[in-house]
Amino acid sequence: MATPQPILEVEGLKKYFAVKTGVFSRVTGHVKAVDGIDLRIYPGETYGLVGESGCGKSTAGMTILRMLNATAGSVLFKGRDVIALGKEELRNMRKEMQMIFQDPYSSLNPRMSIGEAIGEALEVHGIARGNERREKVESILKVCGLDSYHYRRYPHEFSGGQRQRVGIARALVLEPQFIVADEPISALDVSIQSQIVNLLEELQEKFGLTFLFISHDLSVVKHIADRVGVMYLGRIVEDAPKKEFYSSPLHPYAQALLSAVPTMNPDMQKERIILKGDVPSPANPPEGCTFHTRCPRAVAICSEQVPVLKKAGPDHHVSCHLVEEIH
Amino acid sequence: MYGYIFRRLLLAIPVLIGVSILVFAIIRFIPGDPARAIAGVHASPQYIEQVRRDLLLDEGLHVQYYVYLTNLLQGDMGRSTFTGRPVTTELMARFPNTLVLASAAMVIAIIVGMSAGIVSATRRYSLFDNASMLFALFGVAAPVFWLGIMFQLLFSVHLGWFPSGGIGTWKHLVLPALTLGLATTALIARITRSSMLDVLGQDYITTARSKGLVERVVVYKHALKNALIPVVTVMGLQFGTLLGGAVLTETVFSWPGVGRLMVDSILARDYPVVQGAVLLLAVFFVLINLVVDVIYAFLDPRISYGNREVE
Amino acid sequence: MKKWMFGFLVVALMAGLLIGGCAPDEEVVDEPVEEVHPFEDVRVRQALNYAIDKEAIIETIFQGVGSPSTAPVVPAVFGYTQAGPYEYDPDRARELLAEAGFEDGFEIELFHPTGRYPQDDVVTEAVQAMLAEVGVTATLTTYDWGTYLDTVIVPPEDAEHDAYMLGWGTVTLDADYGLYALFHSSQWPPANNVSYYANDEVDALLDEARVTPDRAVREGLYSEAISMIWEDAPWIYLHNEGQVNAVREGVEGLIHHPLENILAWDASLEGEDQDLIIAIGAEPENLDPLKIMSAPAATVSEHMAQTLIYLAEDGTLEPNLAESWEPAEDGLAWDLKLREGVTFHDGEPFNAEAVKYNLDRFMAKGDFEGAEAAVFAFLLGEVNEVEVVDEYTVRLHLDQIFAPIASHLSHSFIAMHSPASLEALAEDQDVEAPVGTGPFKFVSWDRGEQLVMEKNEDYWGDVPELDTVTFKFVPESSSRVIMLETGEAHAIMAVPPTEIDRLEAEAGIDVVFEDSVRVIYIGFNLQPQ
Ligand SMILES: Nc1ncnc2c1ncn2[C@@H]1O[C@H](COP(=O)(O)OP(=O)(O)OP(=O)(O)O)[C@@H](O)[C@H]1O
Ligand code: SF4
Ligand SMILES: [Mg+2]
Repeated sequence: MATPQPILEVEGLKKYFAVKTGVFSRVTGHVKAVDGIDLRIYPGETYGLVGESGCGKSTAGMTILRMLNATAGSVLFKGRDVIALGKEELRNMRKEMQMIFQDPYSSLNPRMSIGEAIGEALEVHGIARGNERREKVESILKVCGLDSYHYRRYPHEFSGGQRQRVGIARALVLEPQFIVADEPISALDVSIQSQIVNLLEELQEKFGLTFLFISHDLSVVKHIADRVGVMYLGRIVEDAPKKEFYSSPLHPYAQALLSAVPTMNPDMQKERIILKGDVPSPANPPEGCTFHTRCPRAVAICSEQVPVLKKAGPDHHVSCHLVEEIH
Repeated sequence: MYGYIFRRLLLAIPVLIGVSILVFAIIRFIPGDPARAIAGVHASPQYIEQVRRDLLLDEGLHVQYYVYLTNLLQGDMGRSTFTGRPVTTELMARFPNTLVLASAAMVIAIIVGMSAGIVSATRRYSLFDNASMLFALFGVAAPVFWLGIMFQLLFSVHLGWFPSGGIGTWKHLVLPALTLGLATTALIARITRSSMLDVLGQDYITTARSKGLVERVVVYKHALKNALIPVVTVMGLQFGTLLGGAVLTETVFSWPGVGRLMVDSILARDYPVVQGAVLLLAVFFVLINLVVDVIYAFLDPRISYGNREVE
Repeated sequence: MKKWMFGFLVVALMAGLLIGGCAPDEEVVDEPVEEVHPFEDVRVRQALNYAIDKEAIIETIFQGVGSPSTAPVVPAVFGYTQAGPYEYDPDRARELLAEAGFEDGFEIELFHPTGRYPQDDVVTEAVQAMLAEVGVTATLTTYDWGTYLDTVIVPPEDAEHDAYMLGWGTVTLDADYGLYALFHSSQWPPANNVSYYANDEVDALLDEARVTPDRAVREGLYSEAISMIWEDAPWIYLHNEGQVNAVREGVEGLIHHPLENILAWDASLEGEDQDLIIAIGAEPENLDPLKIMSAPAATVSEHMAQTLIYLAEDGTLEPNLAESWEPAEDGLAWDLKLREGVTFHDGEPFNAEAVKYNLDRFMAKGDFEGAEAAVFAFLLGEVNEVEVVDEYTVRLHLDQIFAPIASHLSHSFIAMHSPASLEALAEDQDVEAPVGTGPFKFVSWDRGEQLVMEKNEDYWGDVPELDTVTFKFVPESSSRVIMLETGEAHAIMAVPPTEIDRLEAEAGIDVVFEDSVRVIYIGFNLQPQ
């Protein structure tokens, strides 16, 4: 199997937020929300990015789309560095990279009808206006499981699941190739979650979409993703193809996360690894391995040296002092 | 929409009845003899007796209220004990002036306050933001009386740009409107800023940016309209406050409005005029709230003003 | 003990017995010895006058504006004589109290209004503190003006106070108005002798002065009455209020009248422009003689509608629309000789008919019988008929001899308006654009803002040099000061005490101090129950 070119290639991406205090807003520190991550996503693939709340997943997604300006690193989309694009180029690039949000309530402008919210982008990019715009919007609504009469309705007239469909329709109307879906189902009722996941899969099939699927729900990721990346305090600590990841996670953090996932198969029942303490503040991360304050297997070196990302399999990377590098 | 306005108007009626009862009560519960209070200190015993008869003070309260209300509905609020003129005449001579002053103050507050708030929000922590928020703090805290006199000293005495008081040309309006409007300007600036910051942090703003919109469109089309709701609420309440708060400004700048009339009347114990002024301001307050509600409905499709139910 | 004091005590005792008589008899028998209230002893009353430092009150509370009272009326009043002041002397006060048997002091209830007179509550507190120095403990009770008069102007048996604060302005500038109302024994509440003062000799003097047409003789009678009242000390005499106006340089000839008026008919401005602007604190409530009641209204009115007799700023009476006024032999009628050739601003002639019309309307007599009389109709209370003798003579018929009538006629509220203009008023309508005979003609009145008048080219006297006079109504005193500084006003009334020093220091501005007519005092309850 010839290795295709990745559609997205992220290297050394960092996003620090300045912490300002006092009347004169002096910068007194930084939140290292994303602290140097690398990842590759191939066309048509779904990359599942997982991790606890606050570990920087959303920030990573937003920085990749350049909804936030990166502090350092590069994001190559189809070979072009998104980070270095000028204003105009960036606005053009937006057509090709879109985002689906976690909260279908707050991601839609409450003062805009659905038709307008979805159609606006068509107009801005000079793709369609007037009747043509309307037709396009109505057809994407149908594709997303909505009706054309929804065109005139306002967000508050929809249920959560419907709104997420609107959010998806809005993201898809420009026919992008790459979509960051930031916890697209975690705000929805369980009964509706699978509908949306199925919709996303259908659409991926239909339009050949590539997803960065952000989630803290490992079972959903297991269902939808091709590759999995685990983030902890702004860094990716393990990155592996789905099968390998779920069968043999290597990083103690990943192991802990997976041990918490309930399974149907009683034979597979593992002992649950309980992590002690809270996630440290990204404004003041621990020295050495950032996980060592909570790691059940930590050794002396862990608090002194930062582990580098090592190759632990043909397509499997882990950053832990205890994992042997293979060459 | 008309149905909605009509229903809101109906809802205003109990409020107005409450106000009228309150105003009706003012005069009857002040210490001493209400007839004497209304007739004034210098009135002859015959006149006091006449007032007593006119007000039906010897009848039951419900009869008195009924008559009072019927008179009121016919625009008859009695006569000023100080000037002897009908209260309605006194109020109508002054109210337009107060309205002009309050509106001018409001226009200044909206234009300056909202612009400052928007710029502050989009350039958070910039020098402009810090300076304007410091200024806003000052504006909210500065007493109107002191401020008015400072403006007079600066702009009238030293610079000679504007007259220090009175009414007439637009120049007469500038200082009182600024004085009256400053606190509201400051308040609107702060509310706009925080509301804008709140809205700018919403996902739908990110959504809007992700559509490839230019920042101006994002700020004005998407953010501002959403940020306006609390601002409009404040504006509505503030307009009422401006009408009432014009009292001090009107006094400092000799502006012949209802506020000053009210102060003069209180000092002169001219109860019929005090009653009338309170009633007028209250009615206006209710009307403003109605207008604010209608503006809401216009700004926010989630507020239903037809018969359609809100989810 | 002087004879009159004895008389006073007898009267007081009798009154006491009379009131005591109302109580069931056996109680009087059970308690024959009544405790003497301190205020029944004149030494106590004088002592309290010595105990108060009037100068200090004026200096600290009024920034030096005003003067300690030297009589129950101010010096500008006809009939005034200097009787005081009681110099501040706490030692003397303590001595007198000891003599009267009150070396250990006593306690009193002192009632006072708030918001009526300048700093009334502060003044009362100062008095309280000074009384404490000589051992008198005063408990203060503050009343809003609306209820205050009903509380203190009551019959002796209803009085709950030992002392009260009040002020009185002798607005006719004739001692009768100040003394008769406040000290004649016939004037106990509901009239204005709130202290229940009763002194036969004072009564006799005041009665005589009322029926003595000769002004010189009257003056003597009042002097005597004033001296007695002063010695009797039914009040703690505090101070005469002062007024402070300020005028820009280049304004000549303004009259600052003790009745708190600024009069502009003799004024002129330096330079071409002859448009004078005066900023006053309050707006005229009304310009109709029936409803007018305040000094600001009088100020404005007098420029347009004139009185028959003019009360000059020194208290003398001068011819105005009447050239002379003489009592008939029996004193029950007065003949007024009117000025000839005067016309109202509307061209109507001024004559005896016009005077009768105005006076009848004011008193609600003659053709106006049954209508409402003027608020100040009591000024002509003794007049029962106005007779037109000939075109330029009117005769006032009195119920009883009343010498002060000429002073009362000079009151600016009794102003002559064109009968035609009064006829033209709709029912219920008041005069809003006075049509008089004065040196200025009405131009416009913007409520809450200003009243403008222009010179009357056909004025019977010296035609004013000013083209227009504008009175601006500026309630806030510091705003008036600013208007004066910017030149938006040429003169202002009632400069706030705190601004006096600053304005005096400023070049181009003159500060004018003038006595006003009001005396502020603490009255004793001379009929303690
Ligand atoms: N605009 C910002 N300014 C300052 N700090 C920020 C900002 N946005 C995010 N952070 C901080 O960066 C860290 C990562 O936030 P992020 O939202 O990327 O986490 P997340 O993994 O998406 O969490 P969740 O699962 O709760 O969505 C957090 O500590 C957060 O507080
Ligand atoms: S490096 Fe040490 S602390 Fe970090 S995960 Fe591995 S064992 Fe745990
Ligand atoms: Mg997130």
